[in-house]
Amino acid sequence: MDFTPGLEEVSVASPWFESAEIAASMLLHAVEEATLAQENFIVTLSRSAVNPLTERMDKKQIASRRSRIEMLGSVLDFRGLVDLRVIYQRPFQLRNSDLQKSSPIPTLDALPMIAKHCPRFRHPALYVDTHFDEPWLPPRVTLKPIRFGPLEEIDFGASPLTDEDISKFAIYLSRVLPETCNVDWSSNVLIPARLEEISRFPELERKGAASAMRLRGCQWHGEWWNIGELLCHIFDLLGKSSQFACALVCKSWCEVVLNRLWRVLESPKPLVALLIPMQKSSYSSLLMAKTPIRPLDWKTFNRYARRVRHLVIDFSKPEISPEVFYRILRVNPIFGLLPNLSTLKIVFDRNDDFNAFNQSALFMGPSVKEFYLSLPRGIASPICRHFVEYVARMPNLAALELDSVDRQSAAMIQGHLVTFLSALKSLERFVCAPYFATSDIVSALSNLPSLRSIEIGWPRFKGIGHPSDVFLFRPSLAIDAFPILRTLSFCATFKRAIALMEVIHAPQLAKIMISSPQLETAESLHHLLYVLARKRSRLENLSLDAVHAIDKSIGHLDDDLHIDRVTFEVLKPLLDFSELQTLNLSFHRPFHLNDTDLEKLLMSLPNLSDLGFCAEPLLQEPALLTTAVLPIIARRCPMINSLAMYIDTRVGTPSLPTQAISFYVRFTHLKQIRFGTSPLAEVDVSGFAFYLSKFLPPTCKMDSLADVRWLNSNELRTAGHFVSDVATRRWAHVSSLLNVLVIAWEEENVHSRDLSLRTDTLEARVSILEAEKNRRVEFF
Amino acid sequence: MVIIRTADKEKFTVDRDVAECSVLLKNLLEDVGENEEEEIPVQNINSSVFRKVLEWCEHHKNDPRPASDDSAAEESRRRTTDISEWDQKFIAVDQEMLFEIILAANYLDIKPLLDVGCKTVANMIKGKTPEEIRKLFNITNDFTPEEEAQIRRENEWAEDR
Repeated sequence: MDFTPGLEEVSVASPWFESAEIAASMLLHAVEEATLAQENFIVTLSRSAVNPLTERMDKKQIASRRSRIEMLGSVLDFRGLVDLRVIYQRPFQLRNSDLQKSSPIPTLDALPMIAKHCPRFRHPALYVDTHFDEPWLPPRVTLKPIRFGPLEEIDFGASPLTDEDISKFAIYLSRVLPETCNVDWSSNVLIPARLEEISRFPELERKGAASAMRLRGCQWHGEWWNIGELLCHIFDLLGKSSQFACALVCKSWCEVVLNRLWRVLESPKPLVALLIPMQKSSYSSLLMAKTPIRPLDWKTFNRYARRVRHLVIDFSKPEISPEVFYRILRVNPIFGLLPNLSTLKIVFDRNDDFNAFNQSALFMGPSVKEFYLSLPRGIASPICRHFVEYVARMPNLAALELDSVDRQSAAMIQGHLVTFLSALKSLERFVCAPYFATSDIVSALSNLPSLRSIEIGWPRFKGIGHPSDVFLFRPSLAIDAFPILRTLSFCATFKRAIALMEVIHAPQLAKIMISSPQLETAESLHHLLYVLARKRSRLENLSLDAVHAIDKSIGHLDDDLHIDRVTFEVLKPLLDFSELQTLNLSFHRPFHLNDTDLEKLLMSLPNLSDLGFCAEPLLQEPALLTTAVLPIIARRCPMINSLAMYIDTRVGTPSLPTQAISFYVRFTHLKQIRFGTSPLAEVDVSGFAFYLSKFLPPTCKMDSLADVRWLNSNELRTAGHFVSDVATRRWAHVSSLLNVLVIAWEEENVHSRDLSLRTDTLEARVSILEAEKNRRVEFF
Repeated sequence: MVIIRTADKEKFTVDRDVAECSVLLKNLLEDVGENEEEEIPVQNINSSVFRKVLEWCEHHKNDPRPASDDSAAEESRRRTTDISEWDQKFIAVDQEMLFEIILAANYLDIKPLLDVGCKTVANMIKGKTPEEIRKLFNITNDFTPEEEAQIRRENEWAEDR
């Protein structure tokens, strides 16, 4: 085709369906010629027009002549173009390239982009995804959208629009479009895509016309309660019952709040109740079906099902009779009832419960990304047999968490687990109970291409495995094992850990957490630190724990260990870790380091934000670190956020520290502080609290203080410690005193600032008067 | 010191660290650089609201800025609806001003102030019936009785949680 100079408009209509290839080259050609003829065309291209179109076809599409065009966003660079119309039988595969949305068709975010890049458009027509996910307006766009200038009409052709989205869509448009712009929904472009859409959704025609009318009448009035993103924010602060009340206020609230209300479900009961009315039977505590499922109920069900993102199914607290689930299964043998479910948590109870598998399988689907599995008591293998099916139903799992109730041994189900894990090719995160990451499991994980992190959960939340499973920890790793692993946690003796660290390649490893199942010597701690410093000196996060995971059945508090001391020399390899942000060390004896030693250590760790310095030793010995170490830490590690240590809490008389620290440094970022099992005498309680109050963050707010969490005695007990109730009470006392003291301290600061201000004014006044007096004296 | 011009053309001279409570202003200031002469317009906020916002920023200028990647802290901040005493006094204004402050905080991107505002609204909503909420905010009920009954039925599980 030749474009004669002066040509201003090109219009080509094909009598049949064109392939994407031909359409693309046609459009490309037009665009290229248009650039050459820019004198007369009002077209300027900022980027090369060579690659705006690439085709994407698969065999099926070619067969049905339903090819697609993929336009990589370059169309949006036609800054001077007044009008562009391409009519094609399929929606374009156009992406909001700047926004990198995964959605196949342009989302509404494309509108501000078009407004920006094609400011001269007057009659755009496009097929968009009108669905609003929440938060359904990007923040900054809310109040100051880029508006179209001369836009007269916008046409959304056959774009689908559901009832739920109409009002949001209308509000959105009313903010983006100029007031004079018409919105056309029911334009009469007869393209097969439209026919197809209409045939699939018989009500579309009606809906389209109705919404067009609404859109024309809609203007933005600035009612705050119509701003969805603010509503989301507010509704998130409410409990379920208040959210329920909000749902009944008006339609626009209802839509937003129902999304919040149904987002996280702690039980499948509300969902099941939408399908089958249920009642308690006389002979069982479980809910039984009252009536069969009616076909119409599925419509209601689907309206809610798409809102559910997180679901918990707890078989240890059954509410609904299995028979109810069977009814659903019979009517709907297709699994995956919840299209947008992203997190599924299943707590299994009885080991032989095939029902449980069937029931939970109803909700498994390809959208599930995170899967929490709590393994049943006793032998779990009957459940484990279904692991293969889990993979088939949830092929896109990115995170897997395994809980273990009752010291379930991983060795018993290791075979099943290895098969399961090896099939999860997109797994990025694996979390399990202590002692669950056995040699075989870690070996299986090492081959996963996307795995970024292996984590061990706290026993309080994740349960615990059997320590004997990890005693001979020796995973066999290939040379290219763990290609992108960043976080590695495991339970093993320091000796085994040293052996592993010597061979592991894992180029991206930045965080290492090792818990030993036995008491360790200072020598092995030093050796491990030495190897790590040599191999991994760029670590950001290091935790070595020889307290919390030890198992009484394996090691005893040996008399020799009393002689064994962790001194500065033992910890010296730490000086090499200059990028360390988190350091947690736990040892059975308090560290034999004094304030100066710790300062030396901290001087080479300037980025530290989280320090756990043997806060909970098993042996109650006098601490070498004194309270004077607090200002040192505050000065050396200004970014410190969380601090745990074992110190000597004696502070002498309360008046002393005030003078000593009149120019003290405060912690500015501290959110959490605890002193573990540090001894605290009754007489020192108030003195210590007083001393401490001077170091806590100056922004004296109750909320920030609420974040200063104190040692939770339960946490210690589960870790095998015993903290006396007396100590717990004393620390609670310190905590409550501290709340009051920090506020008082801050008020005092404000007052003293006021006072110094007053003194300043007073001095200024005096000096002026003084000068005046002198002047008068001179005058006379 | 920076000069900020509100929608009604009033000019405010503000300390830089006060203005930087707002992420929007902070970003704008980075663009402007050290040129102190340049006025920064905030188009969507009028002077009475902006004065109020400045009062808040002045009081909170030394607060640690919330780190964007600190999701745990974010979570705990969101969950509680406690408001500090000073903020409670600050936010004790009429409804219109309250919403203007919320909108301004949203526009200026001052997360902690937005939180204070939203928490206040949430506290106003808590424990009220739908009818009371409508009356409070002057919202018209656009449900038919049938629709209302249906929503009530489908969500009743949440009613007493």
